[in-house]
Amino acid sequence: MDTFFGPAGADKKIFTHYWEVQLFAASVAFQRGLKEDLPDKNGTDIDYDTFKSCGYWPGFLNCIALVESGNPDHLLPEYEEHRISLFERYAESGLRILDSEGFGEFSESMFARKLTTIVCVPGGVM
Amino acid sequence: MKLISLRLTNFRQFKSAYVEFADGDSGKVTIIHGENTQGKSALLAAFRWVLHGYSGIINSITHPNVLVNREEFEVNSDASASVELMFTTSSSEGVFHVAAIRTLAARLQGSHIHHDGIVKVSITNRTTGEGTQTLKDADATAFLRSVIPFPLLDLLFYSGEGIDKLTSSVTAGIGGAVRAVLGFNVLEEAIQNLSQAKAKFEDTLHKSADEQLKKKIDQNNKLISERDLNLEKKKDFEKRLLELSTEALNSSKELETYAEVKDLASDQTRYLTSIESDRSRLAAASGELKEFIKNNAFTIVSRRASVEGSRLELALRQSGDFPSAVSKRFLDELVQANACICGRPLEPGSHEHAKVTSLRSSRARGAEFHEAAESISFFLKEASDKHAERVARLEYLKNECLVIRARIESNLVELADVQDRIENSPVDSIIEIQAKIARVHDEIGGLKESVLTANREMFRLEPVIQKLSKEIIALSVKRDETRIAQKRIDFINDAISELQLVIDKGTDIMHQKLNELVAEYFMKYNNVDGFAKIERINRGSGLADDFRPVPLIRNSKGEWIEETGANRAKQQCLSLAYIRSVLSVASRLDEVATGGARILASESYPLVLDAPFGVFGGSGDAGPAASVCSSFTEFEGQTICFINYANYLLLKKTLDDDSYVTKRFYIQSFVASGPVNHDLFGKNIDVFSLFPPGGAVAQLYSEIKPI
Repeated sequence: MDTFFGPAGADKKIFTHYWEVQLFAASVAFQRGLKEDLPDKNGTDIDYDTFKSCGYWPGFLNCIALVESGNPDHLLPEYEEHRISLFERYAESGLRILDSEGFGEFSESMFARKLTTIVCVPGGVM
Repeated sequence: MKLISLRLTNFRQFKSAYVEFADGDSGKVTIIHGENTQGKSALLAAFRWVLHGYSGIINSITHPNVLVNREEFEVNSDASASVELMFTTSSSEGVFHVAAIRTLAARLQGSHIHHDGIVKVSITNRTTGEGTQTLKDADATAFLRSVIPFPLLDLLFYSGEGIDKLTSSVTAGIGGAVRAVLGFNVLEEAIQNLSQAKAKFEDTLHKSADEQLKKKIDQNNKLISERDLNLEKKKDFEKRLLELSTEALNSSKELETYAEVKDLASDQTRYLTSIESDRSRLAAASGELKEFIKNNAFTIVSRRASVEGSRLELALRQSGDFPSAVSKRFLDELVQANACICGRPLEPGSHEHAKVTSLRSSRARGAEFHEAAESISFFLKEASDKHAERVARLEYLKNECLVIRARIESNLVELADVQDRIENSPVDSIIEIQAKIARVHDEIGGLKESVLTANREMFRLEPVIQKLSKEIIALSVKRDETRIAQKRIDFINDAISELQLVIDKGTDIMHQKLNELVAEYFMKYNNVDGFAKIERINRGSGLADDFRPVPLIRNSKGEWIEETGANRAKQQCLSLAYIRSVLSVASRLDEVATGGARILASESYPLVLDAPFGVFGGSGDAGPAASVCSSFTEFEGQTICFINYANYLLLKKTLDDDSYVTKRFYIQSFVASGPVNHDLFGKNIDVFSLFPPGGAVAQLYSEIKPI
């Protein structure tokens, strides 16, 4: 994960904050429809404060919950933990994918290529 | 020289006149009597004119225009005046009888008289009786001037009116007479001519000095050496230039063999430049890609979520479930207010009441639901819009980076290859050759400049050398002339020394003799206590000293000192004493001349005196006039004296002595008023008025008649 996560200003880092990596990983996993069960799941792993500066995250969280269930009721407060858990499972899966595919060693161009590949793969969500 | 006769024709006031002088023997005196302006001075002028032409005439009234008797023009527009002087002169070849005739032919045209003078001299050797030789014009003139040199003219044909002349400080004529007697004038002329010749040779000598030639030769040799040295240097330069040019050519050829390496170096530079440039571009592109990924990676990857979420949201919205149009809290408020949403009363059991109740139970959602639904809409909106554009942009940026990177990689490969080849090439040799070529070219440049300088120097030197060579040739010729000139100068110097010696010796003797005689005669004539000496005046190198008779008187201490302001009588005495002294010396040159001093033949000269007693005044027999007059018989040559009636009366006693005066004449003038009678020499003689009433000279004509 060192390639795309590090202090601001670092030459090769794509993401400055860890939550950005989590969000990106979750989106990668959801794109591929892969989620994992969380070991020792306690339902409160997400630090909400870390997502405050990102306007996308609540929408993405609710969106994957709605798409996953097909039921708008999952947007109700009582499903909040479920929604978070769902995000975490995808994030976990995504991080694993990124790690397995060597994202940590990618340069910007390789990352971009991979990113493009992910988007444009015929079997993908497209 | 002895005068025989004088014949005048139409000369001045003399219509026709002829005089035969007393025998030329020593001590014989001829007296010609004439009153003032009757013709005595004209008679003196006749002597001088016939002997020396116009230059001998000292009286302005004898101007050529009035020389011819004007009466002649009254009857004839062509007239002529002539003077014939017969005399004898001696030389080593014998005694010559000379008839000298000078004639002035004149023509009256209007008021002007045109004249043309001729001179003719007939010479007959009286000793041998050989035939007569006639000289004309220039030859005749030259002959007469040799008999009586000009300086002697003033002395021998003496005008009493010019008594100051002999004793004044202006002594040229007097000293000249002495020099003429001695022949020093000839010697002086010879010295002068020699000096002039010498000056020319000296000029030649000066202009063509050996020293000058030597300097020129040295100068030329120096220049030639300089030129040769320059030429040698130039040759060396050119030789070296040729060597260097060959060397430069060889080096260039050698360098050509390394052209490939030169290309490699060029390639290396090109690759390095390109790589560096691409790296800059890559850095910029990577930065842009990184920024783009950071901003857009999430939305790009969230494609499935956005697509499926949008479809579901649309379906739910169409079914009215998503999001609910009425919130649960609103419905609670309607129920509590018992009012329908359409405004009707919400009656329990009514249709409206049932619908609201149903909505409350099944479809109504809380604020959290709405908030969640809005967040989904926001996400979908952000994730869906411009997705394709983002992907394309990502693709573009990615490809740009890849292309640049690939190009860098490729160039790096090429660069590595080039560097490998350079690594294995003889770069050092190339650098060495290039440095060598640079050095050679530098040296060639310097040498070319040196050759140009040498050429310029030679161009400068060559004409100077040529000019000097010409000067040397000219000087060499002149040097030869110099040597000849020097010999001639030496010869002339010797000649001048000899002549100078003769002059000096003669002058010494002459001075001594004249001193003695002048003192003696002056004492005798002066008849009072007085003494005279001859002062010697230096005239410069090559010239005989001048002489000046000086009257002396005693001062209060009894010493003889020069008398300044002597009276005219005393001056006249001194002049006559001086004349007599000169004549005395001239007649006895053998006694005074030594060595080569005697140039002229020893000869006695006649003395013609015009009014010699005019200034003495009446002092009877004791006066100086009487002393001078009585001494005429003691003169060395014949004496002819012109005298007026007043002086005749003074000296009557002496002049009436027939043994003393052997011939007597008087000048008879005729004028319109008739003759004037005087008791002259014991006879009654008509003496005409001096100035005729008409005043015209033409009316006066004279003749000389023996008494």
